[in-house]
Amino acid sequence: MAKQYILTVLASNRTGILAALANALDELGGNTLDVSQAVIRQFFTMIVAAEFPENRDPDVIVDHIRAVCRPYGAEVSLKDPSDEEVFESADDPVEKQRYVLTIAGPDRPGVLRFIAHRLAQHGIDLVDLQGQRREEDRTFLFSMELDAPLGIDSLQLRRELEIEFMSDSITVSLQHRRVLAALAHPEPMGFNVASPG
Amino acid sequence: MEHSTSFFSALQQLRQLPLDVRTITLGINVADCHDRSLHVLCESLYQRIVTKGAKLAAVCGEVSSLFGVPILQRRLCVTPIDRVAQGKNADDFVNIARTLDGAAANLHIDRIGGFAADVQHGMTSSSKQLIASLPAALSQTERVRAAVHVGTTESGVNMEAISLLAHTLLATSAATAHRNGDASAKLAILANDSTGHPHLTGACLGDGWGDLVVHVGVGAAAIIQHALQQQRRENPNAPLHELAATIQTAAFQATRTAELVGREVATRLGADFGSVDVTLAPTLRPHDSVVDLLPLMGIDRVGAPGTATALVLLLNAIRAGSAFASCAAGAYSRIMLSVLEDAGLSEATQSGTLTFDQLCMAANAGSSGLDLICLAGDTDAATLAAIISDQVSFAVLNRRPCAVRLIPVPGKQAGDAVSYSGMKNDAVILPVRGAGLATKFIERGGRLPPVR
Repeated sequence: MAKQYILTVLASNRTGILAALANALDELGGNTLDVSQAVIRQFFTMIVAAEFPENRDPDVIVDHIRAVCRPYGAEVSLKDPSDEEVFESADDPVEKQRYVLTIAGPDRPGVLRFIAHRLAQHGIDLVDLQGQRREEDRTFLFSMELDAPLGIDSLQLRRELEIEFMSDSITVSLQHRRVLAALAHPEPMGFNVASPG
Repeated sequence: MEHSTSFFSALQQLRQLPLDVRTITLGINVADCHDRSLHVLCESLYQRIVTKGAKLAAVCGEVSSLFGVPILQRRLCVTPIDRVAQGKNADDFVNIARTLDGAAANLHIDRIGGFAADVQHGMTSSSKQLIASLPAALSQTERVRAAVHVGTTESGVNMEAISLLAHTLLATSAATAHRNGDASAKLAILANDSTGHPHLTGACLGDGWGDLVVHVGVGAAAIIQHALQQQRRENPNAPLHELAATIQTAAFQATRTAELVGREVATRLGADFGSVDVTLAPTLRPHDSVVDLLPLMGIDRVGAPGTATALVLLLNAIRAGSAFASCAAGAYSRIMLSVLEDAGLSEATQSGTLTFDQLCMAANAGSSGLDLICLAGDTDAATLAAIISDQVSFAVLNRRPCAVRLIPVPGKQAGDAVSYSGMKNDAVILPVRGAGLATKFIERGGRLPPVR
């Protein structure tokens, strides 16, 4: 019987870090289930869901990875998903619609806070978020993928956000995943990801 | 560090596109509603439309909120009424028009098409009765759009019908003289409407479609405008082929969005998905028409020399973009120069840059025909018929569909201003040069033979 853990690794970004990490996981008998990796500034970050043999002590896992990745100054933390109380499960029966929200404009404090609060009020789940500020003209662009419950009026939501940010000349766009897919893929409709399901 | 994932860079290009859908048209087959009794016929027509179209407005709202794409106009169309109401007289046809109007009002639908007749070869008695009913039917209803199909490339043109329609136009306009003859704006004279395609004004559910069909019309003007503005910022002197490429891309995006929305509406209504129409037409929004694209292309005002070239470039680019975007995109896309619905055109006619003759010739550069043009109230029937037959002849020769909507305004002379409720703009009565000089030609009647 295998046991699942969630690991996060933060290390300095130099060639070889992923190789070292993969080595460590292999030596521990681990098997990667789900992974997300990003490089922010000079740091390498990774979140991994992995399976380990039932009898593997969590402290051993953390210590071993830390030792193997020592040249990169890796910080490792580990969570046991079975310890956490789950409020929302991934296979929630409520039907969700996937949207992409993009916000861009002159940098100003509080934009993300406002949006996150507004989304929370509507019961919209944030699935993915990426963003950056350009130093040369101090503008920012971030985009997030949202899981909205069925029945959200996306025109209305976009208008609310637009009105909020209009005075700062920050632009807002909210697009359904299927609209983006229809525009971004050359295959005819019915053959591409814009089709439901 | 720059994010360079494809997701992120694709987003930057695609964000903020002003996507919208101009029309959703639900075609309902009512051919089996025929009955000898007028009462039974009207009752079954009404019930059929109200049942089949019940969810249209709600579904359009749902899909529009889901995708974040506004749907600007909802329409219904039915099987041509001259076939459904065989053997009825003109008064009966007026009652049928009222029934259609009531059904559309009940469903909160902006327009209902299908009060139509096919007369390209000759007229059946019911077609004649339908045409005879038009002055009363159109002046007593709000939402009904009528159409008469007078000719095709393959079958030739029925000139007798055009003469009859010219008289009908004058009578229709006279019946609403107190409203500047606005009822005649609801009658479209069509040519080359071979598939009964539902995008021409006043069109019907033609032959060869299923019982319930959803057609969608793209609102491409806004997105093309957006693309051209962006190109002007980046390279104000881009050569024309780059301009065409930009328009083509925008047309692709508009067509894709329209098809996505149309298919979703069709699925939710349990209807077939019909076709995507990429005709460039003005919408109710300000600065959302073809005429507003011309300055971005470098033509300061519509009607200036070069306008036709620009229109041809636009139309070709739109066809190319939409043909790749969707297998369902119709090959019959045109540019609608609807003077009364288009602020830019209306200004150009008032200032004199755009004349009646230029509008006539625009049919050869991709325009769908003379659309919503106000003429002097004393224009004689033969001149009206000649104007219509000129447009129909262009269309027949070029193998393209055309729709003519003329408004002879009672009591007004060339140069007078008129305004209408429900239309965006005031218009000016356009002078027609050489009126009355073709009477003998038109009075010969008969037919134009097919184009070989």
